[in-house]
Amino acid sequence: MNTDLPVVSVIIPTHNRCSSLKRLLQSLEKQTYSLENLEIIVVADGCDDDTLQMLDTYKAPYRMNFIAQRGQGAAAARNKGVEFAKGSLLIFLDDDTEPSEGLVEAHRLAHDNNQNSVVIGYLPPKLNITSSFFHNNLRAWWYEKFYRMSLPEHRFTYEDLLSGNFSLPRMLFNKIGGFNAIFPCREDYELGARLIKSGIDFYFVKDAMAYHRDTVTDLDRSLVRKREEGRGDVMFGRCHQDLIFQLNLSHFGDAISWRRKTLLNLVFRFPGLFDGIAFGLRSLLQFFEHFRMRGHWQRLYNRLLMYWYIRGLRDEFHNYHAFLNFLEDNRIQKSTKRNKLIIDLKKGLLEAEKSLDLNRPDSLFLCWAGIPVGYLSYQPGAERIRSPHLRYVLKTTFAYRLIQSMAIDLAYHEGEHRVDDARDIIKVKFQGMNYGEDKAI
Amino acid sequence: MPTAVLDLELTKIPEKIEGLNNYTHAFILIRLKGTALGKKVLPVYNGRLNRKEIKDQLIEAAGWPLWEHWLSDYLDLERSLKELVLPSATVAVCTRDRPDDVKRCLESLMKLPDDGQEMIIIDNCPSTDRTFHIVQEYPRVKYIREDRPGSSAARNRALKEASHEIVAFTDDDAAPETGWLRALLRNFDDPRVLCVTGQVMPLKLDNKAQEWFELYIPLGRGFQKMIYDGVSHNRFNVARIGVSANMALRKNIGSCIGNFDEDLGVGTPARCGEDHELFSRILAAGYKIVYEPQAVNWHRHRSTWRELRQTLFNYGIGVYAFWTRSLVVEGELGVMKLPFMWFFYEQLPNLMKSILKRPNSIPFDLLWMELAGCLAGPWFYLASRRRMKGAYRKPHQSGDVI
Repeated sequence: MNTDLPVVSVIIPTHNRCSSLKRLLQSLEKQTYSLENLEIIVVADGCDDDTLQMLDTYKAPYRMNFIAQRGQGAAAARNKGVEFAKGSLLIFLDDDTEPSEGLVEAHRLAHDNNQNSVVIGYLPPKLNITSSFFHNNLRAWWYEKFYRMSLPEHRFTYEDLLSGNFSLPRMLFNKIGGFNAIFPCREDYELGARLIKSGIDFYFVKDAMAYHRDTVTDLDRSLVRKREEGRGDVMFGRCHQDLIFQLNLSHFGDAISWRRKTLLNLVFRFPGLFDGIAFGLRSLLQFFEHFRMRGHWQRLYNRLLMYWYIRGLRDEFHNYHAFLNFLEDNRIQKSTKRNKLIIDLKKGLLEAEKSLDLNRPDSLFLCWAGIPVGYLSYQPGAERIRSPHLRYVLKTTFAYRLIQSMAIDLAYHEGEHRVDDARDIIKVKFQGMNYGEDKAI
Repeated sequence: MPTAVLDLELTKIPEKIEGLNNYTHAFILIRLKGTALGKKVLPVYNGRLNRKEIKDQLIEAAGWPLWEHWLSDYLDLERSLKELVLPSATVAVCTRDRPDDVKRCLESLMKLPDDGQEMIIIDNCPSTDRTFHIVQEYPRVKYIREDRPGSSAARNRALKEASHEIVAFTDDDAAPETGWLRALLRNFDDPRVLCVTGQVMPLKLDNKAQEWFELYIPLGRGFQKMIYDGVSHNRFNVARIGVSANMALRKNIGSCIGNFDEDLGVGTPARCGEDHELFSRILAAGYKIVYEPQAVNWHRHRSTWRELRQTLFNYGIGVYAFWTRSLVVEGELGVMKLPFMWFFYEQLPNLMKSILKRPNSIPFDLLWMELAGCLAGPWFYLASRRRMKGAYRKPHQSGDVI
């Protein structure tokens, strides 16, 4: 290993968060990973507070470089940081995170075990305010997201790439083209979509933990952000037409009631008026929360979120008709060749799993001794099928159909070539199902 | 009609089950390879049950979960890639003047597989020291005496004294089975789960009082695992979640959302309701509660009719005390509609059926006791607050301590 070049580069985009950034840099000093192989690159994106002075005078035991640029957004900042990075492994951290001591080591280890993949770290929230409805929901959302990712049967999608704490090899980042800087938000999902589509595997590593010390996110900011998400989703749809119907904006297309359509038309035409109404309703939220009217609060909050999302759509399309055309133009997708695998479960699950891990198909057809059990169709934006997905799907979605197929197979073998009603078969044959001594009931 | 309580494993039902001469029915817990799947009450003739006759009925009664479990076992679907590491646990039993029950409970605790769990007994305001002497016979069990009255105070003491991450509670009159602790612990994998409740089965159903208890307010909540997520589940819809006779909590729940409210619970004027109140607070803060039907313990139901009436009276007080507490301490105006909903949708129809003497209607005096408890509930709660000399209990600020 060439000791002159760092092995790991940590890229931190920052914008006017001097004290958070300082706390982050200080906790990076305590990493268990050897600091001489570590390089930190901070990209100060349009900072007009003390950030630059602080970085200038900061004495670090690891290599640290910082770049100042005028405000161009986090995506552009990260791309810039990578240009200056020399390590072979890139770790992206947001400036409001507080990493644990083993973070870099955990990322490094995960990449040693899985070459050429993306590792997503654990980023549990540490919110300051903790007893408001909004913050309870926010905390629950974060924890639920990470819990799902930690389950072995989780099927990764482009939405799992969270830019606050993730890592990938520098060569992979450059090959995929880095972040798309035109996105105001959703730039992480967009990168995730490109990575997933090129067949790169995602891994979730719980040991690569950093606390997300979020003091800024609150209800108002979430509404503003929702508007940006509306715009981001439109841009996302333009870049990835095959994923349009997975986005929220597809719910505002033609298949809605005429009442809703009229309302949407009006919102597109008179945004100022509706903005005023939305601000008024926002104060109603506080009233609901004060009187602990949780159900009403939740419903109103969801409606407000939807409103601001639509406003974001309006920022991109100036009338509703143009938006509908956008959806319509992309409704019919060009079909591309997909990798489909057919598995006979009677030959054994271990065989099936080996076959899955070898082929990594996009879609899967399951049968039992030739009798169909189920079909896992192609899911755009999701990773290719792996063996843990099979067991989970057999336990849940396809359990009943699998048992049906097993019963039909048994009936066939016992000489009944005409299968009249699978239910009768199940009732009668199950009672005597005898697949070996210890399996009999 | 005395009912025998049996625990049958479908793959190992004996040819004939004898010795049931005093019973007219059998309450059977149906298992397959150790997993509890369902229950069924069957008539007993001539004091015995034959496998040929009952097997089909049991398979029918277990229903789809039986086949789901069979499939899972046959194809070895449960083998997961992630080795589940169970967290360390403390088993806590809160007791007061019930030395015989404590002895039975400790006997079954000794039969739990040793995973390094700590075991403690909280003796709450004892009038004799019989419990103390009984605990002395079990060196693995630690004895702690808590003189503040009330089951909530006792449980809070257990939470304070426990040295492991999870505290599993069982009542002194409920004896856990061998798989109990592991079944509870495996649900703490998700950091948002603060509480796991288990299933309570009746130990004996020898007389009418016990049977009506099991019929009207069964402590078990079904055989389906349920996950109650505070983000989507109404915080006052807690009656079906579980009971404090069989539950496990994270030790640091106090810093998260607060401990049991000491104005509620057995031993206080408010009688019970501390478990519903805790569940409600967990849901309100956006955390999860899991009901795990495989964590079974066997509860000795009250055997006299008088005790049953008293239990229902206490239950009515407890529910209304919990609602009063939520209103007074947390300012939850949402409780106002709950008494009406309960009355018009459940209590009143039951009362009418009972008055008109419909078949299988619940005895009128039980319903009346519950209703009387409801009416008395708020006053008893306020009396409890005065008696406990509780300073005004501020709603606890929740924290992220996961």
